Formats: sequence, structure tokens, C-alpha cells
Amino acid sequence: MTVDYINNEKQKGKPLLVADHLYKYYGDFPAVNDVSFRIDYGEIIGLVGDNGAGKSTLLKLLAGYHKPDKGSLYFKGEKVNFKSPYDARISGIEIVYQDLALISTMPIYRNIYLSFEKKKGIFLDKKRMKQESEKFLKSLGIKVDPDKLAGELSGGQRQLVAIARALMFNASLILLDEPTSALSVYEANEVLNFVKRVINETYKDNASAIIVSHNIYHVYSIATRILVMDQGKLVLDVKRGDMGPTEMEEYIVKITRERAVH
Amino acid sequence: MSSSYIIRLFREKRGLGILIIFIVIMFLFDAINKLFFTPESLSDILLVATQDGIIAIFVTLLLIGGEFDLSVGEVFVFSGMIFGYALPTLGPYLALLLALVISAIIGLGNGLITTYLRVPSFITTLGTSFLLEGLIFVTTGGFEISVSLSRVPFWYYLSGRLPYGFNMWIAWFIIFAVLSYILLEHTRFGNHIFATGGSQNAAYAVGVNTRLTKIILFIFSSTIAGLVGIMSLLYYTTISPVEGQDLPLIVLAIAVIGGSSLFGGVGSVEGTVFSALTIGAIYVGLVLAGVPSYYYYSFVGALLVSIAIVNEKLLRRKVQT
Repeated sequence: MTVDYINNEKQKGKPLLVADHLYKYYGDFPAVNDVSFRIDYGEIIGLVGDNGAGKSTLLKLLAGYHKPDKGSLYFKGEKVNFKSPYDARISGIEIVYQDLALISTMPIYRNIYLSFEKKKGIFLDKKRMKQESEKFLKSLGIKVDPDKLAGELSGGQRQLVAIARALMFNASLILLDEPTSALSVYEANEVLNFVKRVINETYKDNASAIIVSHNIYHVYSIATRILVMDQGKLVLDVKRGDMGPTEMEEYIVKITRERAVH
Repeated sequence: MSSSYIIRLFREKRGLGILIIFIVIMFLFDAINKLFFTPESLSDILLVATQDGIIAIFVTLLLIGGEFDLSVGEVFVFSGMIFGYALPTLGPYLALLLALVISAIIGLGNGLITTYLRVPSFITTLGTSFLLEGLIFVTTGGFEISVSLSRVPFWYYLSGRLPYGFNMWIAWFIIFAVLSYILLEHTRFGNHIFATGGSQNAAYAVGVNTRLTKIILFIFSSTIAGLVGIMSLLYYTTISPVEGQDLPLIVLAIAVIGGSSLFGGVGSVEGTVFSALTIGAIYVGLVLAGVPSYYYYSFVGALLVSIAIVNEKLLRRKVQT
């Protein structure tokens, strides 16, 4: 099953992001192999697949962490060519990594403002960064002292603070790489519902999110659309209502088994 | 509650522990020998503390950024050698410029090899150090390099003697300490130094130019080592080819005793300043106490290991990755 964003009649409206035939190789191995899709405003995409399917690599291409070897990216109607994560953030794409979320040895407020520091002349305006991050965290219902070191937070708190950072600078696209894998069931639900609430209410559907997970049940409840990757290829692109999670899982198992036979 | 508060205080203020040790050591040596608190011995303390301390400040910045520089000792001698050799033909200003530019280029080389070719800086700078050492011995034939101060109009500003045996290095030590403190604690670049050393990948992922940050720090440590080499040459009017051999490790010890972590992301300028003063006090104090000078190294070694144990165990942060 190939996915062609141009001929997909189901997707209408103005696209927020278009990925056009993206490739990324690690040596000779295509980690992302001819991937095309589009994302509209207000969508929450669940990106699902086995370990090594290419989900994280795809996310890193969108976030400027890696450059695609082939293919183009269009963001808000313009062709973009990110040279670094900084470029992507300036354009309005924020990413939260599972393992690279925060720097343990730095206070929370300095993590939040890292590379977007507030300054007074040439000097850091620490007071303002502290106050504003405290205010922002509070407005999202996250109760932590911004002066604390990030290393002192629990796993769930770390994810929430990292997501809060992604929301602080008016991003239009928020990428979450396995945000729930290191969390308890309770914490995972909290984090996912938090994302949904922020996209729908705080951002009033002027932003979208992609949530990567290897477990379809984790993201099914909040996603509006599910993309499935296998061996670097996008093999399924469906709206949530069109296919149930069990059906989807069976489909993934089926293509994996077919591959094993061939 | 109170003990956790104290641990937290020492953890946040990395310079505090070494400040207390410095004060205790000063009183200890004063109790042993009443000559300790005289201007002469204080100036001796500062002579040791400032030469190593200025370099240690910039090695601290690099260490916080997550990298080593083991080549500062040979850059120190190499830069002095270039200045001494170029002085008769190029004149003092161009000779100074040439020596500093070459020191900076060595730092740039260390930085590029470490960040772009991904060679650990331990290896990169060790290699640079051996390379320079070879060049120094080939060029000098093992003999000292000397200068005549009459040819160097600015010698007084770099290394001039002040009353009571003090010299201009104190002023440079203060200037560099204040500037690098402001740079580290109050600028965007300083924030990026902590971030790069704390977790290079995490810092890069949110937009920090981690390579550039490290390269700049390598250039800093190398250029400053070159400058201090010239300052030393102008103070003693000679520099020996073997003078730089202990320097990188002493300077590293000063930074670690001052609270810097070898794993990056942790450290402070004030900690390194107090640490340099402590090392100077130990050196002079042992001499005044009539202890053979070789014990100095044992003393510094014991202090280094004790501080490292305290920092890594007692004050260890709850770090999750």
C-alpha cells in the first residue's frame, strides 16, 4: 500500500506540513524510504511502528536534527531546508525527545529558555526567565519550582516540563518522540491528555502534533489520524474512525509476517 | 532537613567548599609558622596561584563545556619560544601578535579535530602536546629561551613587579576571573557552555551550536596558555623547554579541586579561583614549614582525590538521563 498525499481525497484544507518523497540513509540502509504525507492544522497524528521502523528518524528530519538525503519539506506553504534544530524551532517546529528532553545539570527555567534566552542588553535576564517560566508552567497546571535542577524531577515531570517548553514559543507543530515509554500508565495518560487539551483548547486547533509510539493503544485514544511505518516506509495512513486499534494491530502484524515470508 | 539543606548549598555553590578549605589551610599554616601572613609569603602564594590560576580558569570553562585541554603546558612554552625568537626580527608587538595567533590556531585545531572528527579531546590535545614538545626540543636544542626586557616596551603591564614582591599577574588574574565569571554566569554563551557540557545531544536538539561553543572554548584555553607563557618569559626573562610538562595536570587538578566535574556541565570560576589560591598556599606553606618540596605534589594529590570523592559521592546529584 503506497500513500500519495496528493491523491488522497480524504485530506482537505490547508496543509501545515507536507513531506514529499523523503529519504534518509544510514550508510546503505534506508531508515526513511520514500515517505510522503501531509498534516493539516488541528490534527493529532499517532505515528506507529515497530522498533527500527524509522519513526524517530522521520521525526528528526522534520525537526532539523538530520537533513534528508532526498525529498522536500514544505511548512506553512513554503519549502523549508533546515540546517539545524535551531532553524526548525525558529520556523515553529518543536520536538520533545524521550531521552534528550532536558539537561539534568541545569535548572528548569534555564532548560526552558535554552537557545531562546531572554536578555537585558548582552546579559541574561534570569529574573524574567524564572518568573515567566513559573507563570507558564503554572498556567499549564505543572507544579514545579523553576529553580530546581532538571535532574531532580520525576520521569513524568520531566516529560511535562519538556512538553511545556515546546509549547512556550508558539510552535505550530509539536513532535513527541515516545513521550510515554518511560512513564507509568497513570503518568502516560496524564501526558497524552495534556497534549490533546493544549492542541484543542490552548492553541484552538492552530497547531498540530505528531506522537510517536511503538504501541498503537497508547496513542489511539487521542489521535485524529494514525500513520504506520514499517522498514522505513509509510504503509498505512488512516483517520481514527476508519479503522479500530485491534484491526490496525492485526494489519501491522500481517505486513510484518508477509515480509518474513518473502 | 538541615543536613539536606547544607548538602544542597554546597551543591549549588561549587566554590563554597574550596573557600572553606582555603581559609582553614591559611590558619593552619599561620599556626605552624608566623612568617606565613607576611607580604613576602603572600606574594609567593599569588605568584604560584596566578600563573596556574589564569590558565585554570579557562580550562574550567572548557571542562564545564565537556572537554579537556592537555596541550596548555606545551602551548605555554611554544608561545614563549615564538615570542622570544620573533622579537629581534619582528619587534615586540608583532611578536606578541604572532605568538597569540599561533596559540589560537592550535586551539582551533584541537577544537576542529575534537568536534568534527569526533576524536576525544583527551587524545587530540595529548597528541598536540607531544607534537609541540617535539617541535620545541628540535628548535631550542633543549636550551632555555631568554629575552631582554629593554626590547619589550609593554613588559611592565604584563609582568611588572609591584611593591612587597607582588606583580602584575594579580591584576590579570582578577581581570580574567571577573570577565570569565560574567561570561559563564550572565551571558547566553555561558548558558550554552553549561548546556553543551551537561548533555551535548540534548543541547544540540534544542538549537545550541555545540560544536561552535566547544571550538571557541578550545581557542580560549590555548590563547590564554600562550599569553601566560609570554608573561612568564617576561617575568623570569627565560623560559625552559620542560616548564610546561606538569602544567596541564596541575591546572586540571585546580579545576577539579575547585568543583568542576570531569563529566562536564558542572563547575564555577570562583571555585577555580579559590582552588588556585589554595594550591599556592599549600606550596608556600609547606616550604615555610620546612617540609621537603616533593611533599607538595603528594599533598595536592591527596586533596584532589578527597575532593573528587566528596563531589561524586556526597554531593552527587540525582541525575537521570
